[in-house]
Amino acid sequence: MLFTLKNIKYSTSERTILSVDSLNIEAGKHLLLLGQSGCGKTTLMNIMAGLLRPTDGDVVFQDTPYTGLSENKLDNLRSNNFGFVFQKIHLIGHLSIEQNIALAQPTKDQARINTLIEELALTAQKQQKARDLSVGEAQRVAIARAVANNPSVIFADEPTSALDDANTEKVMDLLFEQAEKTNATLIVATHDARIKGRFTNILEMTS
Amino acid sequence: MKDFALIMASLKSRWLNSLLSVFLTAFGVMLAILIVQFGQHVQSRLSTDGQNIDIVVGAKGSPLQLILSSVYHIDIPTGNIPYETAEKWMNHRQVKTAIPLALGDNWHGNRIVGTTPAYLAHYDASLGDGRLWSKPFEAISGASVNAPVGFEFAGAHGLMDGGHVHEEEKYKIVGTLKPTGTVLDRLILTSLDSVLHLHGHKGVEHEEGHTEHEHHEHEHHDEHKDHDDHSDHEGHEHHDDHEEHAHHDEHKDHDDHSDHEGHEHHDDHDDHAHHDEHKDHDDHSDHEGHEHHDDHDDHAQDAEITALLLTTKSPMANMNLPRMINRESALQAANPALEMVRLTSMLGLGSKTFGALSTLLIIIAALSIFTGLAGSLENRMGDLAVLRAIGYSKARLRKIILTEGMLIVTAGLLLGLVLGLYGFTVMAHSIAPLSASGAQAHITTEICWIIVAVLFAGILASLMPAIRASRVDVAKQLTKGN
Repeated sequence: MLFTLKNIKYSTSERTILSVDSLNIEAGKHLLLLGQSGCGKTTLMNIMAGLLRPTDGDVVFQDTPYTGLSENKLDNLRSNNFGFVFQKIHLIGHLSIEQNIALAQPTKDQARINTLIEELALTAQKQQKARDLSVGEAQRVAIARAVANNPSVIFADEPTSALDDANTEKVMDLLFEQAEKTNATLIVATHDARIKGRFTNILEMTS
Repeated sequence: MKDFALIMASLKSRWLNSLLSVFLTAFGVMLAILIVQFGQHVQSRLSTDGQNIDIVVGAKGSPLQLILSSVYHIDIPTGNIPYETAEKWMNHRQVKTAIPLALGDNWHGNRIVGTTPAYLAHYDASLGDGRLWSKPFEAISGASVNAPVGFEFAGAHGLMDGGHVHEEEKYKIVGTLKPTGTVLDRLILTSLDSVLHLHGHKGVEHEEGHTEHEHHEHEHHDEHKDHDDHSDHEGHEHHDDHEEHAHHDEHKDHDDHSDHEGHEHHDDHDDHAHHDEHKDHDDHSDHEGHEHHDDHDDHAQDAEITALLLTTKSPMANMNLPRMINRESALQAANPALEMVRLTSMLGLGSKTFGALSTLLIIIAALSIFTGLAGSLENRMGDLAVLRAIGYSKARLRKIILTEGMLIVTAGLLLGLVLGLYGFTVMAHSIAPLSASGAQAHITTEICWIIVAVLFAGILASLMPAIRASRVDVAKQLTKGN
C-alpha cells in the first residue's frame, strides 16, 4: 500500500478542518481529491505529504508511519519520494529554469534535467529567470521540478484552476505523461470538475 | 543545486540591498579602525614621547601648551625663561636629570632644537651615522628628517615651514640618529649655543676649538662666570645685576663694544623689552627678532631657553618641585602625565570612549545586516516554504540564511579593513600632525578584537532571521502565494 490513513483529524482551536476515518491509496492508482474550497482537500494532501502533522491519527507511507519520524527523516522522505506542483506555482523567481528544476534533486542529475527541459519544450528558455516566464511556461517548469527527483508520488494542488480549457488539457496531459514515465502515483486536489473524467479513483470531499 | 550557488543567486537577486549592507558594515569597520588607529597612535606618542619626564618648566602660560610644545613639539611655546633661573632648578638636589631645550627655528617643518646630549640619552637614542655635535652650528638629524651627514642648511625662523631664513649662519649635519619611535625622529638637534647665538643670546657652554662665532659666545660666557664657577668681579657684578633683573652691565667687558655702546644698548633695550621681543621672535615668524640679532650680534642678551625637562629623584619631588617652581613669577612647572590625562579627557580620547564608539559602530553595522536579512526574509517566505516542502531541512535553511549574512559581514569586514588601514595610511601622509608624528597603520590586537566582534555581531544579526526562516509555516505560505 502506498498510503494508509487511519482516523485522521486536523483541528484548530476553533473548528475541525478535516476528519478522515480511513483511506488507502494503492501505488499507480492516481487519486483525485475533489471538493469545494475549504473542504480540507489541501489539508489532507499536506498531511499525506508530511507538510502538516495531523492533530490525531497517523499516516503510513510504504510501511513507514509518520508518527515517531523525526523532522529530518520526514524531510528526507519528502525529498526522495515526493514531487509537488503548487497552486501558485511557486518557482523561485531569481533562479533560472534549470536551477529551479535542480532544486528538487537531492543529488544533481544534469542529464535528467536536460531530458525534462527537452520533453517539456523549455530548451529555449533554459537560462531564463523564472520571473520572466509566461504562466504556461512556469506551469511546465513546475511540473518538471515535481518529477526531477523521480518521485513515487506527485502531489498537485489545484494545477488547473487558473487555466483555460486548452491549457488545462495540456497541463493534465503533461502530468499524466510524466507520472507514467516515472512510475509515480498522481494525487491531485482540485475543485475543477473539468479534470474529473481523467481519474477512476476519486475522493469527493464535503465541508 | 549546491547551497552556495543558491546563496549567491539570492544575494545577487538582492544586489542593491546586499551591497548596502556590505558598505554599511565596511563603513562601520573602517571608522572603528580609524578611531582605534588614531587613538593608539595618540596614546603611543603621548606615552613614548612623554616617557619618564616628570616635570616641564617653561614660561608662564598654558601648561598644556608648554607640554605640547616642549615634549611633543606640536605647539608653539609659551615663551622663554632666563637660563640662569632655569639653571637653579637644573641643579636642584631633588632633580635627577635636566634637559634644557631652546626652540625657535625649523628646517622644512622639522624643529631645530638646541639641547644637550642628555636629551638623546633620555630617549635612548643612538647615532646611526656620523658623530654628535662638538661645536655650534653642528647638528644631528632625527631618523625621519631628510638630512644626511654633511648636509648644510639654514634654519628658518619660527616653528612651521616658511619663516624667514637665517642665511647668515648655516647648520651642518654631522650625525644622524637611528629611528627611536619617539619625537626625536623628526627633530634636528644641536647645541644650546647654536640656537641661542642665532637669536642674539649669549651662549651657555664652554667648548674647545671655538669658531669666531663661538669666540663671541665665549666672551658672553665670561659674563656668566657665576654659571661656570668663575669668580671674577665682572661675573659677580653680573650675578648681582641678574638678581636685580637688570641686564645693563652685561656688555661691560665685551671686547667689541665700548662702554658707550653698551650703555646705548642698555638705553635702547631694557630687560623686559628683550624678553618680550624674544618671546615674539620665538612664537612667530616676525622679523623683529631677526633684526634684533643682526643689530646686536656683538652685544647679545642674557641666555634664554624655551623649556626644561626634568626627571626627579622621588615621587615626592614630583609634588613639591612644581609648587616651588610655580612660586617664581617667570616660571611655571607642568606635569606631562597630568596634562595628557586632561587633554585626553577633554578630547574624549580615553580608551573607554574609543571602546564605546567602536562598539556603537559595530552594532550599527550588525543592525544593517539584520535589517537587510530580516527585511528581505518577508519577501522570501514563499521561496523558503518551497525549499522546505521539497525536502530542505530546517538546519539547512538556517545554514543558508546564516551563510548569506556571514558573506555580507565578511565582505564588509574585508572592505572595511582595507579602507580603514589604507585610509589611515593616506591620512598619516596627508595630515601634517599625523605625518609629523610618524603615524603608521598597524594591525594590532584591537583590530583583531574588532574582527572578532564584527563576526560575532554578524552571527547574532543573521541568527534571528535564520531561525525565523527555518520555522516557516510551509502549508500556510504555499497556499498564501508569492
